[in-house]
Amino acid sequence: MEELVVKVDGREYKVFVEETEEGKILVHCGSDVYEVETKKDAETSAIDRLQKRQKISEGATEITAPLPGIIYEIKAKEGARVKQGQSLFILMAMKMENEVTAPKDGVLKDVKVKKNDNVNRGDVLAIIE
Amino acid sequence: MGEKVREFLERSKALDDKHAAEVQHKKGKLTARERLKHLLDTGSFAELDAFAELQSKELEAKRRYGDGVVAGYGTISKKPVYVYAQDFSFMGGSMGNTHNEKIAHVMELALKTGCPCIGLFDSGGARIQEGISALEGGGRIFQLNTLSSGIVPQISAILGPCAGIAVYSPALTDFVFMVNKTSYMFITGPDVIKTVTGEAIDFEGLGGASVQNEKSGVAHFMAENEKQCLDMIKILLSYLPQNNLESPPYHSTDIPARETKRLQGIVPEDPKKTYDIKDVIIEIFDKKSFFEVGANYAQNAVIGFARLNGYVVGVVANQPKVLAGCLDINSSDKISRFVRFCDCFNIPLINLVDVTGYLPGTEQEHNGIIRHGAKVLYAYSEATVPKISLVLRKAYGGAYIALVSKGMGFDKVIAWPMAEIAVMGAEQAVSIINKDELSKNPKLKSELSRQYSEKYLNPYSAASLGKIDMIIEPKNTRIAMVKCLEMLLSKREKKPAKKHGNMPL
Repeated sequence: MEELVVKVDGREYKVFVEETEEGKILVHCGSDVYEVETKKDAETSAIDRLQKRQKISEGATEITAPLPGIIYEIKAKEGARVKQGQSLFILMAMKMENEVTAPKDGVLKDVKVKKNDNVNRGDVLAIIE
Repeated sequence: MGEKVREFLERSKALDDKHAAEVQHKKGKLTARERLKHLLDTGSFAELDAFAELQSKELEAKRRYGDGVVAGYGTISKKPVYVYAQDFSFMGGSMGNTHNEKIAHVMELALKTGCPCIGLFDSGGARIQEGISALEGGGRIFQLNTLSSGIVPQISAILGPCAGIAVYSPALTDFVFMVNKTSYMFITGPDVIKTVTGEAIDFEGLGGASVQNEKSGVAHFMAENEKQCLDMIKILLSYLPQNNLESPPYHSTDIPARETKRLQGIVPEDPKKTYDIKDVIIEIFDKKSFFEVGANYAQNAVIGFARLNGYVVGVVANQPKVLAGCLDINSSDKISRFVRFCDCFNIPLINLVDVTGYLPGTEQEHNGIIRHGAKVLYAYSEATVPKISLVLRKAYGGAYIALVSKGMGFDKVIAWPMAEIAVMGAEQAVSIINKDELSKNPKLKSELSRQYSEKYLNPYSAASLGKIDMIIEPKNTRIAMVKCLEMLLSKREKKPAKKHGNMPL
């Protein structure tokens, strides 16, 4: 059972989330129990979901090439507002079109590459602020 | 009541957790006994050496029953396990002579009786005041860790700031669990680093759960709190046999002949497009049975335990979504160690292959990809458990040899019709094979690539050599895998006797 603090209209509620053996997700709030449906990843276990945490950092963040390859497509313009997880570059590497996504919400600044550029692992592609 | 019994009961009162609870609860942590209570079946814990104390004359004033570790045995899901839990509230959980002997005692019993051994660590390492003999005790624990390796599963949970012996012993065990924001592992702490290198770094940045799970790969599991951590240990144990002479527990929950219809939609036919391999794993294996190991480290390879028609298997899969699923230094280490664990404990291996190969580049070469990549080859070649490989799309060159080839001893190789099994991709291949022609007329490249693709990038040339056992429609994947596995469960393979091999490290 997992303890969570949920804020609704400024008031904090302590709830307990339980995954039953049948795969139902039950939320205990005080003496009430609600069954809820999860939208995504319904098949993965609760532990799996908890393991998938992503860190969101403050300030300017460099977006680097995860693999050595060729810039195949640039999907966002300099100065554009981008959302965490949004695809920004397609990097052709290991014979695949690899997506390079935004590590956080912000404004895309200083795109340092153009289409068909060769990049090495760790090269800075752009900066998000 | 007799006088002696009364005295015993009086002495036993000193075994309570009052002091520990004061210290630990303030920090939002559980005491050693509370941790064991949560881990083990209700009422199953039996404590050993509860009255053991430190023997050092200089430390006489500090002497207390137990010497900072609670050790004993109990059951988890009715199966016996040996356990020990360090008590940070007593001299920082430091590992003195008696403390070390208590740990060694349960480790010996676990080894003798073929039961898993679980250590809950919360210690700064060797007890400095007890000098070299405390170090010797550490050496003995390492020796026992090594002797037990491959005989009984050894599991460590790091539940506080741990250093020295208290991190090296876990590193010798099979799986390391950590708790986010409350557990740390390092060889030398931030203070020492500050004086030696001048670098200022905090506990979290140096050896926190996320660092050790994501960057170093020292830890395999990260929990959000202590209770979740202990629950995860119980889940892990549900996949493991008690020892190397037993089979992993069978537990059927899904229909064997279920069609895996979603697979065709999950895996794009265009080999350049990526997807999430975990969706494939979830579709093929028994419902909700996949338990990922090392989820935060080298995510280009996905490993974990799952069940196939109730039988426990070890899954090794390329993750096209991350770094094109390539084999690199970190993923090679991750895969090899997992393969060796599964082989130790009679857990069949199933590979899901979709990768063009090892990652090229100076950074990888200079850091020894050859040496690390060789571990994968060694681990699979050495493994005698059933080995099944499914090629979803790409299996080129080195990756083919490592993850698919009959030559390395894969027992059953299955391919989808979209599989591309070849030495390398079309463009690279023609630029080598047709070098002279292309130097005269570079325009020929696309046509030659097309011809190469048509001729070689399919499952049929490998199948014609008898290197692919069957080509199947994606929707029949589960049933084909179940049949392959069940036909291989009785596999016996004897390797020539030797002291031990010399694995590349």
